[in-house]
Amino acid sequence: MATDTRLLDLAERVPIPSPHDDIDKVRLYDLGMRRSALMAYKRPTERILAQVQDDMTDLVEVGFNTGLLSLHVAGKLPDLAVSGVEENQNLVDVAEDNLTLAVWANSAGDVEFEMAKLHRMPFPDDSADIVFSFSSLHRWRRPVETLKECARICKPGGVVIIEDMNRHAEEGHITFILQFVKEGGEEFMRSLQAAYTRDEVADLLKEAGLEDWQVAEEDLGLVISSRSLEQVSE
Amino acid sequence: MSISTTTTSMPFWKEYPERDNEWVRQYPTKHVPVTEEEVFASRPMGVYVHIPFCNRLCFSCPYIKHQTDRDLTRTYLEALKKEITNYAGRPYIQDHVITLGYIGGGTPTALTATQLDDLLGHLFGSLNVEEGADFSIESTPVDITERKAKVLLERGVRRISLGVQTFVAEELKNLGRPNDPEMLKESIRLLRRCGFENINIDLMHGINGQTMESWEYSLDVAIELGVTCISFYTYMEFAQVSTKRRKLPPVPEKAVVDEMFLFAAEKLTKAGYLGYYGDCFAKPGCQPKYGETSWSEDVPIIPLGPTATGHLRDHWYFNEPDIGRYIQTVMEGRLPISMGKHITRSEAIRRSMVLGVKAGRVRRDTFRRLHGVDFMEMFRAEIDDLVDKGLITADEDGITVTGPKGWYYLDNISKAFYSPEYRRYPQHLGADISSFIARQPVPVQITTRPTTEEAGCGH
Repeated sequence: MATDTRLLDLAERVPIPSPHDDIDKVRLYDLGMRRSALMAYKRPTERILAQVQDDMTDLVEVGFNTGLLSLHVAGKLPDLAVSGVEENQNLVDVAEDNLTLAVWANSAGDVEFEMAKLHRMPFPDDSADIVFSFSSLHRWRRPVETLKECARICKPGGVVIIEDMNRHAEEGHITFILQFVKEGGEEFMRSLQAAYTRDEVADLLKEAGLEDWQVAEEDLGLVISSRSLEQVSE
Repeated sequence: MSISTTTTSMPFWKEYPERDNEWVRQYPTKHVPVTEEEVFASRPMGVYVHIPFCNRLCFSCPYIKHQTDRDLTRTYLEALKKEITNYAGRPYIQDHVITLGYIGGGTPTALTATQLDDLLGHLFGSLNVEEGADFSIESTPVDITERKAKVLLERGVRRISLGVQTFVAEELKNLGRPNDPEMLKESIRLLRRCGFENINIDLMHGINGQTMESWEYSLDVAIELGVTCISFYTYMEFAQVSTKRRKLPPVPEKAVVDEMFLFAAEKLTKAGYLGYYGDCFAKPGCQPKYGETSWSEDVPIIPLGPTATGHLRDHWYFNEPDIGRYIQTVMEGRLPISMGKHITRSEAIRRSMVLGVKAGRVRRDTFRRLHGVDFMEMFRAEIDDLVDKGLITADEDGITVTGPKGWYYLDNISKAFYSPEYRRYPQHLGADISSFIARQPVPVQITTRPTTEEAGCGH
């Protein structure tokens, strides 16, 4: 007999009060990601690369965490400029260190990281070909304004791709991940508790006036895009 | 001719509306002789002993283990012995006889001969171990020595399993293992000289640089060496290996890996081996009884050591995974039980199906004896579906997994018997997730009457 009993405490959204306020913890988080998250970055990277076209020049990452996805994407696209924006000083500092190492290894691509408010990004209207974000939405302080901002800076022919965890992802899948993250379990669950559900994202998009955007549930995550992603990749 | 039978009342049997007046106070007759021995017969039980140490950590192995360290190993063995003593003192355990044992790891033979002797002496001396109990141990060709082999045999361990993985030097190197195939072969000969008659070797397919030809070569060497049991596993490349970083040749394509599985199943069957668990092939009489019996006969298992999983008193559970916390808990006099679940009667029935099919066959009479139900009736829809798919065959005696198709899909078959509640849930990997569990009381299923399954009358 099936039951609706949920094992894990994920019914209500619990925002993280002051995320990443300890630089040592940020460094540990970054180290953990560098050691084990390559697989997790594979799909978002492929999704971004699938949208790249010949005439593109600028990519923007909104909330770059410690810069790993920007560095990973930029390394594959040396001719495109990747600009990352983040509003937490500790994250920016660690991302700068990662960028320094990439420069040292002659594999940085064309990347710059900048500290700015996500809901007031320092870019002109219609300036980015691809606006992307990964694992950041759950700690955006002003998600509706930031979504609008993503739409503002994206070129008319460009695309916005925002990925984050889905608080109501299949519980079996979440318990599976929990067995692997070990000491990172606390961090993982706090992020998941702060993450949105598909319907909550739909509400945010509605409030931002972006009803024509799309939300897809995929494995543990949600993929939000300004248009259907199949269009360009075909 | 006319034949008729008239049922009349008997002094002890009246049919309504006549009032019966045999005052019911016992079970009806049909009694047979029962002896003291039968009433007080010890039931079988198994024991799993975990040794989480290796003398050499292979970069391709994702399991939790520790480098052998003199002080840590010594402290750990003291704790393990204390855990054995704790279990051995419990009346429930004393009511059982140990018929099965498995010593796994890590590498149990990473311990010294003296340590192995001391541990096994304590284990066999504390628990009520049956004469001729089926004990298996895991080892590697590097860690086994004549002295250790003799200790194991003297203490009653009859089956040994060696992690060989491949007999091809290049593939051994790609796995980060000692890469002299001759040394591997010599370790098998050594075990046989010492008196081991039942030797299993583990082989891997899907290793970096492996081809169909090299896979066949490893199988041929194993068959020629006369090992009695061959288990093969699909190699999974984990992030820490990184083919590119270590400049390894790629792993074979999935289609090739699948073909390797089917090829091995066919080759070993032709060579006189019988299939168990889909990927284990043993000469008749040499099958790994620990898994087969504990699963098919629902034998309870005592788990010893960190992460060890057991099944006792209507619970499955696993031990504290952290070795430091494990030692501390045991030394404080408590069992190191960490997480698990109470198994209801209906889940116990399903568990026997899920694990029973892993052994390749589920017998109707055994199942009825264990659970009092006819699984062929209870799971008729699932069984019909599996038969339609060509994954099992069914007859009067029970069900049998088809080979090689059913072996290939063995875990799909197994999961067909999960209850809806557990579909799309993973097996535990020994992680403590207690801090993430919802605090509010778990909603209870409310049913007005027991389901057919719960009532155990589905036959």
